[in-house]
Amino acid sequence: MKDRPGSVLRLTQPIRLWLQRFTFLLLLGAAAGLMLLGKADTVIVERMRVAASDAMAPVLDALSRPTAAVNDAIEAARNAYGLALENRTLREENARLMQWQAVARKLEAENAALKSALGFASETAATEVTARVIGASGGAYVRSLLVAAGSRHGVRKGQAAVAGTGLAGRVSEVGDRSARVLLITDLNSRIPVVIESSRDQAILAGDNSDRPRLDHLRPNSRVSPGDRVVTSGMGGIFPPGLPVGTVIGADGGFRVQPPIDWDRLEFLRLLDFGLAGPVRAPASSGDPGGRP
Amino acid sequence: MTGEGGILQRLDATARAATPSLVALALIVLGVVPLRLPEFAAITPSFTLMAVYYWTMYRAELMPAAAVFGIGLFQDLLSGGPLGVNAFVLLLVHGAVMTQRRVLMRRPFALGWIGFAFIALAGFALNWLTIALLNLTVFDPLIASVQCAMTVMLYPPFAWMFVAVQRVWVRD
Repeated sequence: MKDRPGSVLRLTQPIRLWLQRFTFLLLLGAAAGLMLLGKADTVIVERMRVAASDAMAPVLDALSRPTAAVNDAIEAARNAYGLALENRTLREENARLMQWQAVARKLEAENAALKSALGFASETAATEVTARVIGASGGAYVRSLLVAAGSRHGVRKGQAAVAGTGLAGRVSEVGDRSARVLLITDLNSRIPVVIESSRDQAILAGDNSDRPRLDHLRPNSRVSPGDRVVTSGMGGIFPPGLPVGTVIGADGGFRVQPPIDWDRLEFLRLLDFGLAGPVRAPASSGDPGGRP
Repeated sequence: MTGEGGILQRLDATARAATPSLVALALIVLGVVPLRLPEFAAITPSFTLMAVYYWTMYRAELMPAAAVFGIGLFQDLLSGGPLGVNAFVLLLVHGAVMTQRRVLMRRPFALGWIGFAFIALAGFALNWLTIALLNLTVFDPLIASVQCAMTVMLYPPFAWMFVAVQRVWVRD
């Protein structure tokens, strides 16, 4: 671009070069500053992220639909092959599940009767929002997803995101029409869980692999591969009893295999249990332990 | 100044000057769309590295440091990764290319590609190191290595696309 003739901004070459270098260093410093700001996890950073994902949500929503259609077609073609075999397996599974259903009905009735006899205060029922996955964080360092539902659809921070029958993650940022879900496989994900049969407590710690680790198990806990893992409800973020996966043994410790195909997530159910979340406002005046 | 014509001309010039940045931003958005291919998310190439390298090398006046910063920041925000890392790495890539562009600019494309391979390697290494320092964790370098290889291999078709955009739209 040419400068206007006689403009005071027409600078001599050395000054222009100096100015360029100065701008470069200033921006480099700003980027470094942003890294520290992001590390401190401030509200302003979250607002910026939410603004960016909200602005791009309609575009991403439109773009994610054709890829979903193409993938469904590929999946259908793949399924057509070996359909007969799958049919037989499903029939057998169905028969087995019918038996389980009968057992579950009986237990449900018994449970209800016992609860009413005890005067048990049941937890609030969950309401849920089903949201389309519109963005995946490419790259090696983060495991999170963008979904096309936000505060206007009733999504709130801290809600559990469930895919199929397993816990997939937790809503970490909420915009007006988009939200980010931090997956349980992410490096920064820590979820209190319990081994269903032995009631041993542990922390499910993501490490960017598809199978999160089981941390902080007591040394004498009775855990073995194949055990079911559910949320413990400690910390008040998730309700107790959400299925997470099954224990598998791995190099000395234990890992959890979630029942989720991470590469094919198309919809997530965001559950609202009406829990207050990990940080509560002080309940009443003079509460000495108001801060958790 | 010639009134209306002048304004239109300026608008036109601004739109042309903004094209490289807009192409980079569009590539970031496309990179986030879930393709649902097994393992593809982990090996998505870095489109921004290609765009910043290409435009800084061949049309530096259309890719100033401020634009590079904006592109990196947008990528950080949309990908959900640690804030500022891409802005930082892309700015350093931009700075490195600025010092070498006089040598490489008029050479055959193959040399530019080799130059890109070195820059990409340094960029990915720096990215890996920065994120490791921010998280105080050592990440498996395998995924970053595959991403780097993908980025280098896919550079020629993207460079071809950038050339086409430049010929048809940016011109000058």
